[in-house]
Amino acid sequence: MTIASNRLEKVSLSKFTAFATGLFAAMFVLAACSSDAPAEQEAATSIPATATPNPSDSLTNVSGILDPTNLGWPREVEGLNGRVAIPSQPQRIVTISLGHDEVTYAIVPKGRVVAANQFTQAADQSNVAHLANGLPEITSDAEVIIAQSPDIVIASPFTSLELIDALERVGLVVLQTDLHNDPDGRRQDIMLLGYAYGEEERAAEVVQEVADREATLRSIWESKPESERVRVMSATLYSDSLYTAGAGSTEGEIINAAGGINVAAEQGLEHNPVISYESLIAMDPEVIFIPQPAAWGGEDFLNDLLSNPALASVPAIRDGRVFMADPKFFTTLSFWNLRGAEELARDLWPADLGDASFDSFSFPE
Amino acid sequence: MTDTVERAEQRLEARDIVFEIDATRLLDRVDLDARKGELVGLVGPNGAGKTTLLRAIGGLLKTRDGAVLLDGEEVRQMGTGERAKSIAHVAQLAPLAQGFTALEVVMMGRYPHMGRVQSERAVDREAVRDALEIAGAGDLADRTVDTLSGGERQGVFVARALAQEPRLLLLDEPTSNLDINHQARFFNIVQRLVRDGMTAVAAIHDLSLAARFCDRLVLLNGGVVIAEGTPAEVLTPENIETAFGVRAVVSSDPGSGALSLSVMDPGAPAIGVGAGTRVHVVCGGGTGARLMYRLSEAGFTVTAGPLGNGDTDRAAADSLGVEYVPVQAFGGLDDASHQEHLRLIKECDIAILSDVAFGTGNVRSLEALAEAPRTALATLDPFAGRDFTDGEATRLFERLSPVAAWSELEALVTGLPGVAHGQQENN
Amino acid sequence: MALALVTRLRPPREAALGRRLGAGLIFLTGLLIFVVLVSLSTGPLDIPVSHVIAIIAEPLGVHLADYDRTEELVVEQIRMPRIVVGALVGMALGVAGTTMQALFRNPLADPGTIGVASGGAAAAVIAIATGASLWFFLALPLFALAGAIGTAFLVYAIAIASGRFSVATLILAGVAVSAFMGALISLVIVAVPERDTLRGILFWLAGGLDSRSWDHVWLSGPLILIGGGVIVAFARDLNLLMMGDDDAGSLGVNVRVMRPVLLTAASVITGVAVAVSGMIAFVGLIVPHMLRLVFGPDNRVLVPLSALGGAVFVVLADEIARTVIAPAEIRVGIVTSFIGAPFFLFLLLRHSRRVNSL
Repeated sequence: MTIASNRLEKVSLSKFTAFATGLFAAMFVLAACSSDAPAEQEAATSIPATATPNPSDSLTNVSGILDPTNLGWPREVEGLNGRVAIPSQPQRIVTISLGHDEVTYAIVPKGRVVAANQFTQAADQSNVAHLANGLPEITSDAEVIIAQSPDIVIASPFTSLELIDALERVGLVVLQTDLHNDPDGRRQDIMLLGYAYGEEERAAEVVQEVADREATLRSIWESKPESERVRVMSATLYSDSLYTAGAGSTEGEIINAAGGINVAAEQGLEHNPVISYESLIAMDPEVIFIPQPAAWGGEDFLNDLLSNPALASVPAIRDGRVFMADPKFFTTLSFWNLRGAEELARDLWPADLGDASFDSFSFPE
Repeated sequence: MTDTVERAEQRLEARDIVFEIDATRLLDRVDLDARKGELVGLVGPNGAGKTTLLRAIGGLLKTRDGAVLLDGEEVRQMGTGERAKSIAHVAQLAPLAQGFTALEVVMMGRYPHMGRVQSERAVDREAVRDALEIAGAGDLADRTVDTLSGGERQGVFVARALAQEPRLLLLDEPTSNLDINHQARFFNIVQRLVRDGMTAVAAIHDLSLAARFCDRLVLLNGGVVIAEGTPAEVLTPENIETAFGVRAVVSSDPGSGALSLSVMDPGAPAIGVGAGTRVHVVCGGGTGARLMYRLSEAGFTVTAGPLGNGDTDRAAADSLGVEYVPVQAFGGLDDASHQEHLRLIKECDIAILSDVAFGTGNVRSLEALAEAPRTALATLDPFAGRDFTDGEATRLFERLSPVAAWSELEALVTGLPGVAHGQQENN
Repeated sequence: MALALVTRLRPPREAALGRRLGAGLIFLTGLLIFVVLVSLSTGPLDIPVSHVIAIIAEPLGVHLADYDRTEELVVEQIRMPRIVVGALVGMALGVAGTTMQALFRNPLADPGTIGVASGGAAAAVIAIATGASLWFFLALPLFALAGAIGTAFLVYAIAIASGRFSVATLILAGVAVSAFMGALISLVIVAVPERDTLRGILFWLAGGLDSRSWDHVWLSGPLILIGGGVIVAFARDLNLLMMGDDDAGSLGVNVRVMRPVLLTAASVITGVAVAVSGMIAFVGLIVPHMLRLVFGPDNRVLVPLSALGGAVFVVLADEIARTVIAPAEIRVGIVTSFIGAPFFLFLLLRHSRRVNSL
């Protein structure tokens, strides 16, 4: 199915689509540019960590796992939508967001994911498109999801409450969980889903794999003195508004992981605020990356930056260190952001990484 | 009205004016002429086409047929600016003017005389000031128009029309918001302007006012001119009945010789309720005129007691065709007249006593009244104040036994404000 | 003439039109210069006012101070075009608001009344959603302009379709077409799957002056100045049109010609403003009202002053939008609404008698 026909279908589906999208739109405005993780703070504080003192167990210190000692069924987890009992190991899994799909495919064999949304199936946006391709496509219409008779539906913070309520009313097991972009948050996201799917061991392996690669990356820049650290900015241009990425944003965490100094965070900016070109000059970045698809103006924006005389004195532009960043590594919300950090690190530390190539993350058999 | 050579000049000639909206013909081949120095009144019932005709003459409507010539020049061929210097139009409903001061509104009348971006010259300010004075709105210059009363506001818009210094002044019900003394004052002003060479055409719904101030009248009905000429030629009871569908009383004021009209209220309810009922009115000195009009209008057969010649009530009775007992003024009531009066009283179904005063001359009317089958009082004034007979009238009055409730009749009569109180409504 | 015969009873009264206009022009021009200078001197980069003035003076052949190249480029290429576009948009919205209020004899009319703003917004949103806005860098404003002017003509065509013009029909047609355009925008938002595109659309709808360049000045400036000039030239006719068609006609206005001319001029400048800044709310409504309270309702005074007042208001609002959460920015349309709505209510309550009668 092409994108174009999907659009038509979406339009014709139901009021629900309109409502969900409207709510989604309203969230954008209310969250004041925070496109990535507006609910993360609340989620982290409202769910108490388990009290069981067993640090060696990978299931402890994971928000949402109520009893790490219970490895049988049913088991209970606490999501953003409250306590959810999972009666048996889920065999038919549906998630509503790309980030959840990327985590899910890392943990379970691909046959257990029975449907996926269009983003998950789009090769330019998703890191699991090759696994999800050809699956029935879900939308934010409850009926479309119910039709797949899933054992469990994983919803994201962006999923509308009405959709979750509709799914719960027909008796589906719905777990709404947050997605984080910091290392420990990512660990918890993976372990929580692993526990929900009954794949704790595989989840622990993925956590270990991600932690190892984080450590490898960190080792490249950790020893370098502060003066050598590179000043980095993320910039995108949508409808003439210049957006950057401050503290708490996905791009910001990628910069941190790659060992750069996020100049926007340094200015006290959070999430994805609008700034002026003059602020870009004032922030004085040595590297600028543009996590914006070429098809949506990323390339034009890059050319604008390089040709604008007022910006010629900005070090990144003067030295030609302005890069297009692959959106599937930079704007997704899962541990795959680490791949973005690896790509960025290669631009930041050419002497150390040179033409290094990085592997994909592993998938289960 | 003496026609000098100059005043005979034809200024406005409207010929064969036809105007239609959605195939409804609002003006059907209307002709209207006005000479230099003439005030022409447009009269006729609501919906007759007075306002439409004024707008057509002013070039504000696209007429279907006909021509309007101002001093021989086709109005529709004039540029809007040229036209604005020649013709001024005062609409019936003055705009709110949204925060403008009276001075600013009147200054708009000078726009046609000024360049597009020119600011006001001394001559414009002078014209505005004069116009405000003439229209009696001099005190209002700095008031915002939306804070003015309806009459004051109308004065401001008349002043604006005067500031245009037009040759032709079109006035649509210019005094409808003014009280009586201001109405007269306003028309005096217009007459003065007209005498100085302006021409004015005014739609006026008050026929007495039109008769009193206009040189000529044009009576419109249903978009057609049904009469045209001097007030006396136009305002005949026949014409009025044709146009308004009501009967009117036309009399001429003995003092000034001006026509005086009493048109029965065309909106009156219950015309005909009194059919077949005879009502006798004992009145005099103008105390019964309205009562008789009102009763006649309601369809009663009205008769009246003795009325002296020169009595206003007698003129009213004549106009209404009311049968009464004619007597000499101050001549007292002779036996024949008394018998005649008794006859009328005995034939009536009810006799009504007005606020008339009694002296020795007419006290016998009270005596006759005692013979009426029923009596009613259309009066509030204490009788004692009207008794000039040293108590005889009062004694007779007290013998009367007026009906306690005169039901429909009272409703009919008191339906007209002031009548039951015996107040005079006059022009 | 007859009038000369009448005795004058009162001393000459100063009409004061020119004086009011002069005082207003001087005051508002001074205020605009001040606001522009403050605005030119504030930003993430610390550029002293003296340098800003020197940078402005340099092209005029006056050397006042030394400054570095970056400062010059930032002032000339980043701050100045944004401020100039803001001033132009403010002028357009102020003048268009005054014009619409007079033409419709309705104090609640604003540039959005006949659907111009929503038409422009709908066209812009469609351009963003279909990717047409990426064809070339002025594609978005040109789409918005076409949408705005097209909508104005559509609404006017509906209003005169019955053969007779009526203000009520015009306003109702504007309401209906605006609602339709609003639905179209909602439909596009629903149909657009990309989150980032949606972000662009929503922020565009709020109205803003981000990243305006001299290209936007050249795109909007000439049309706004020409349209505004036409309205200034015919401000007297606007006064008369406020009195109603008959009064205007009998005082020398060719209503059949002047109303479409003034409507077109107001629609074009609104469309241009929407095209380069999105819909900046409340400017066209409150600027004329504020000025009317001080300077009276005469459009010969009000129209030129609304241009300056609108410019001051938008430049000031943008200054707030750029600084209140610096270095991040909020949309100027949010600031104008935040200031405009309560201020308008304040005016409404304080001067309710006067506003009622307007």
